[in-house]
Amino acid sequence: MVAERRFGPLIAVLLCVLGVLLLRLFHVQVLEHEVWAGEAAALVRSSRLLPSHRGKILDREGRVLVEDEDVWRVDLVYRDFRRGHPLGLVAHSRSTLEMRAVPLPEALSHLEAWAKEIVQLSPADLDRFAKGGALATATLSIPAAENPVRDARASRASDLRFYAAAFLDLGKQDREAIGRAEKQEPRSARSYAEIVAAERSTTSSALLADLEGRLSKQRETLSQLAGLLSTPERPGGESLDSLVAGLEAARERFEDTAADELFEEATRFSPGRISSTSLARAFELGWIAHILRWDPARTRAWAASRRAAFERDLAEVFAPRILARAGLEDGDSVAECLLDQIAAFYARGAPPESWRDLDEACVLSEIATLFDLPRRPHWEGEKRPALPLLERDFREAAEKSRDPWLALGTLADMAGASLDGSAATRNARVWAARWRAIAKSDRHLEGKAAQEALLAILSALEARALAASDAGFEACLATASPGVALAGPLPVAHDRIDRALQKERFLLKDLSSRSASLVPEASYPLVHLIERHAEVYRGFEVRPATRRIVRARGADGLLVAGALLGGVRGPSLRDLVAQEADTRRLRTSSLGAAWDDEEIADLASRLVRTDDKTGSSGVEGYFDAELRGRNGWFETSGLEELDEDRSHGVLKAAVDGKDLRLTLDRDLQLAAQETLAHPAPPADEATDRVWFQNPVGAIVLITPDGEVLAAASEPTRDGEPPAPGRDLERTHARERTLKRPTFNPPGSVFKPFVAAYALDRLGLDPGELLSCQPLGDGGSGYKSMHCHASPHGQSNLARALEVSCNAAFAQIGERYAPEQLIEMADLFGFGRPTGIRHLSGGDRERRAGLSEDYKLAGAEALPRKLREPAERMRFANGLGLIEATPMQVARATAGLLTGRLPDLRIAREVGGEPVEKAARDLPISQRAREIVCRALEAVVKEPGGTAYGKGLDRASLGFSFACKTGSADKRPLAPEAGGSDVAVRGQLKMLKQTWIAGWFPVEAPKAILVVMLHDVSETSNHTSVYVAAQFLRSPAVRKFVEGGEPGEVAR
Amino acid sequence: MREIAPPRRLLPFTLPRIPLSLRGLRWFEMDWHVLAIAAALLALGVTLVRAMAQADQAMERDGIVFGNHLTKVAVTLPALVLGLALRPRWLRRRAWAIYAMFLSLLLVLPFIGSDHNGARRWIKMPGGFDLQPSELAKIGLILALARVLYRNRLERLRDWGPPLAAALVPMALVAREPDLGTAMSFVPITLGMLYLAGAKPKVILRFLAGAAVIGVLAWQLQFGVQGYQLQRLETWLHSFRAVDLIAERNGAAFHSYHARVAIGNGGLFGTGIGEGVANRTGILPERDCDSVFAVIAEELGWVLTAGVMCLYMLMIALLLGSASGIRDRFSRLAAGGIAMYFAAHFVINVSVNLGLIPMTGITLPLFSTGGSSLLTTFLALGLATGLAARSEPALDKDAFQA
Repeated sequence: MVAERRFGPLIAVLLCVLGVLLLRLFHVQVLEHEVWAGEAAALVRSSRLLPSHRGKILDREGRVLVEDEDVWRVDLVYRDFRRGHPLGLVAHSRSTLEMRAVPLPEALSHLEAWAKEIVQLSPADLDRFAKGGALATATLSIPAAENPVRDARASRASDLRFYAAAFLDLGKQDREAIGRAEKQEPRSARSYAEIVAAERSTTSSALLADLEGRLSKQRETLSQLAGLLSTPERPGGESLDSLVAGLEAARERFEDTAADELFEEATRFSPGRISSTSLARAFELGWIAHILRWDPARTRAWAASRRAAFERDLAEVFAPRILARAGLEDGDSVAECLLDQIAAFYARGAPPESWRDLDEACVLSEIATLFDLPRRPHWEGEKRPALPLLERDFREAAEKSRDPWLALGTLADMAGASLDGSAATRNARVWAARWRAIAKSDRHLEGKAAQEALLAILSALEARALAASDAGFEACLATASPGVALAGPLPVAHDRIDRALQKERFLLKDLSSRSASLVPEASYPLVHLIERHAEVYRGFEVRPATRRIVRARGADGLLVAGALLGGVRGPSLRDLVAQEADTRRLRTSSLGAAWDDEEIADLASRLVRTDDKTGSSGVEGYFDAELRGRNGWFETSGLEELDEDRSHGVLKAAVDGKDLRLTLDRDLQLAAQETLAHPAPPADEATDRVWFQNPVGAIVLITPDGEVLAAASEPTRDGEPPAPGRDLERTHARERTLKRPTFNPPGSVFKPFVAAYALDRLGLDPGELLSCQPLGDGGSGYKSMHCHASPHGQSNLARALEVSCNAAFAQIGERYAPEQLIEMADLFGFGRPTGIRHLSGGDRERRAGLSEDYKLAGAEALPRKLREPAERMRFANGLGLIEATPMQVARATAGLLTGRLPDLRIAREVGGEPVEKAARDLPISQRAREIVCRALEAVVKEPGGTAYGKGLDRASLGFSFACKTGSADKRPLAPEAGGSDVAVRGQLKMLKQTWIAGWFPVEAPKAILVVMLHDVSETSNHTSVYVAAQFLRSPAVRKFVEGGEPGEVAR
Repeated sequence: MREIAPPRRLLPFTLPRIPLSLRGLRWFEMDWHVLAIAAALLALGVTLVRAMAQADQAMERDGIVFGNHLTKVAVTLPALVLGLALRPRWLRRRAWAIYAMFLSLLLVLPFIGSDHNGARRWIKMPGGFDLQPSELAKIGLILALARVLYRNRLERLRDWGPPLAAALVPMALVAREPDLGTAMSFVPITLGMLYLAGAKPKVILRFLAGAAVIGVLAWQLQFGVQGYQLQRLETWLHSFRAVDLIAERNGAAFHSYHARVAIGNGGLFGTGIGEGVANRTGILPERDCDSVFAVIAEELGWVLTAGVMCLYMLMIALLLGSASGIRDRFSRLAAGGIAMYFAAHFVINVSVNLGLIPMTGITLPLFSTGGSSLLTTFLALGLATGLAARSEPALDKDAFQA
């Protein structure tokens, strides 16, 4: 039999096919197993970040100054709101019916009526509607559709079924009943309400009344929620109307973004890349409107807003991102990276490796195939590259010059970019020079100049690209309908729309599932309301967060050491850009077979999230790496919630930041701040009352071995009114103990160091008499150095220090060689860091915060300038070329006192580990130091001493105090400033920095005090001495002196 | 002498001869192996569907209901007996009528069918059962082709006309639904039966080559092919490399991607029944129906899946083997056609899930949950085993060609 013989070969063929199938199965299941297993793991993987807490900052006694506090934030998840909240359901069900974006405020006013209309529809109604039939509700009549597919009838009917079910709050049995009805009663007129009512053994009118009751309560519950949405700007909460308006704005943002993404999916470029005119004129956007249920007005509004939104993003997002990426590069790579990033901005699809690889620009490369046209459009200029980056001339010039800055300048020149419309900048070399200067002064390209320069180039390129694309769209319109003046809009090619439709579901789900912050720090009643009634507030989600809170405050709410402790901020764009590669790796981790779960968890916990806090200044900034914790990562796969045994969770526990125990004493710090904030004007008539009313200055208190006990600066609030006749420093809250915001000479507090060095190294005889004589100009002093009004006559060194004789120190200064003066300053730590930034390691320099102005201004020129005897005399008096911060003065004083120059410390312990102290021997003999220190004791004790009778004696303070006062003239007080000081004595006064630097108790020093007052019209013996006395009399200081800690230091 | 009265007629008319009879079956000669393998595969399928239903229930998904599947199996299983009981001679005589009946269902489908995913492929039946006429049309086509080829040996060119026309009419009607995948499954059945009927392999190969050329031209010229079909083709062409498929996972390649993930995740030994990612996420479309092979592969692994595939192919081979022993040409061709029906579904379904051919929806008989598929499967199995176990004499030409 012929036929019978044919079964064998057929079986053989089938066996061969089986072999092929088995081989393919082996390939997918065994050879590609790792790839697909990774994908499978990603599908069932659910992960969440476990936020860590930033470490606490404590004072030296362990009292909390700053810590993280757990707070709750409230987010809006629009997808949940749309699908679960009655207001969202009503608005979107109505939008589905009417095919227009029904605003939420409008839906709120028809809440009950519109919901009832939906549940009163029957499955048969929707079946007819899906097939293109007419549909009528109480307030709406939708005519039959000629083309049900074009009208999206099937999907709209499906959505309406969902909304009907959602309104009726169906249980399992209800759903089954509806399912049965939809299958078995295709022609039945029973409404959804009637079907469910029958299932629940009630009447449909009772069911509708219940629905009405539930919905009418929604206004009340939403009002309750609105009332609790308080922010610092709106402490009383919001009104219902403003809440609903806010929700509507969130919806519009989501829908705009969804439309953008759909458009981009189809066209491969953002709608903002083309002019609003072209978008509205050339593009048929009905398909987007159908998906989003928009009416023509909403579609037009979207199209009209795209270009403006893009231009806003260009300035606020794209340009800063380009600069941030380039700012991470070094040297000439910056220019090259800028060119690469500009090329990437215009690239079609994936960004090219280099700008030289850019072969076609986005938009322009798509135009010819965007629409289904009868023939290919051609337009003048199609072959001419719209972007200079693509021009051969540009590329050849760039290759020839081999100077990327010049290439960037050439790009700007060819694009026609100019700054402020200035023709002078329209030159490649001018542009190149400008960029070089910007990169030199602003290494990370974070400044305004870089931003403006880049925006000028991008704007010029945009103008060219827009003109070219507009011409292209006109050509498409002309091709579509030759001879017709106003053709269009044109439908986008089918395959492109199909591509967008393929992704529509995921795209919309993804976008609408993203949460938007509603209240960053929610009150407890708000959190309780949402959590307790989660079913009522669908779409509103409570999420945990933390905030940094300052616990220690003064009586009037003054932050303790606010300027020194610094603050925290969210990550900068630079931070985020720097970790782009890691973020990408994390997102695509499932593709890399080499990745294991631990690596993913480790990477995830290292990445900085947008809501992570980073120390930006002060202690917070400098110790950020220690204070900042590591976020944890918990990843689970699959159905763990159903079966504990299946749990394959990967846990990388959150590691809280280390606690930082500072050397600061909260009480001493507060006392210092209080003293500066509210200095008590003394009875001394010669004082500067203007300063006492408008104080600007600093107080530093350190232990002899360098621990900072207090570091106060005034003012502590920005925006204080400026003091009359003084500079604007009163208006700025700055840290002034480590910084020198203005010229800051130490004046006579520098003299003890000059004296000690001269005694030890220059052979100065302590008994040698130095003269202070009247000068011909009515003053007294020595040569060009003026002293006090009345001459001091002959003084030995001790007396010169006691009365602070400028003439004597001018003569000592004359004996110094320039190099010796520089060496003396250097020995006492002037021109050197104080050591407060003590952490060693590679990232030391990169740490923000606790920055100090330690360098001497013009240090390079110092040896030359000090060859002038007058400059040496001034230098020896702490004037002219010498400047110092209060911390530097305090440290030098400690060195003088103890013979060891300590490195200052602000941290005692980091994470429980003590911070090592450091100091270096001061190569000044003990004899010399003792002579100077004894002389400084006399400043307070002896009549004639500059601090004598100023309330700094043992009787006034309860302990002994030794010090040196100092005043450094800076500039004349402006005559027009007036004020009592000027009027009383009728002479022009000089504005000064006045100082006092001393230690207490004298016999067993526990602390070194430095007070500096800024822009004072009177000398220190009329100003700073009183401020010092006020501070030293404070209970905190008394308690400190009486306490056992810190250890006494022998001289 | 007493007259013998003629027997009294109970009815005033004569009943037609009953087409159903189990008496002619030679029970001991029935291919019980086929039925045993089919029962084993069905049991495995039921177990898998139960695991799917349990996963859906646990995850509170509106998905697969095991009770529904069991009901469908119970309701459609009698079709096996029906197939066994149908007498070959009656089938041969009524083949055109059966073909016409199923064809008429396809013809009325645009008017009475219900829409699903933009296609009109089902007729709502009482009790919530949806009938897919294109499945039954395959049985109709097999019987019609067996009837045409009963005396037609395809010796002349014009002999090809009737069988090709018989195949093209239902194919065109099914393709119009639109359901190109099911329509294309008619091709291997038809070609297989033509080959068994004596068509020269060379002619079949030419026919296939011609069809391929037409297909490529239609694709290139985008003529007669719908947009979504072109899209599927494009997606398929770019789905061989894992990276490309992953890149398109949220777009056109969604279904292919999830099928591949499930299969690849199975590895050598599988995840265990109910433990696969397809069940745990419920994201694989049609995992109880067209994509059931992906679930099998994932949960059983390569070793056991290869065993299942071999078993399936063994069943097909046994069906072909028992068909080859039938002396009656009609019965032999019908049984062979049924074997080709199983082979076509098996090869297409597995190939689709493995990405060897573009995505199309086709069931895997004995595993998939569709009621129409189950009905057709049991009916076909009954017919194939019944025809092979009949003792009705054959007087056609083949019967005398020893």
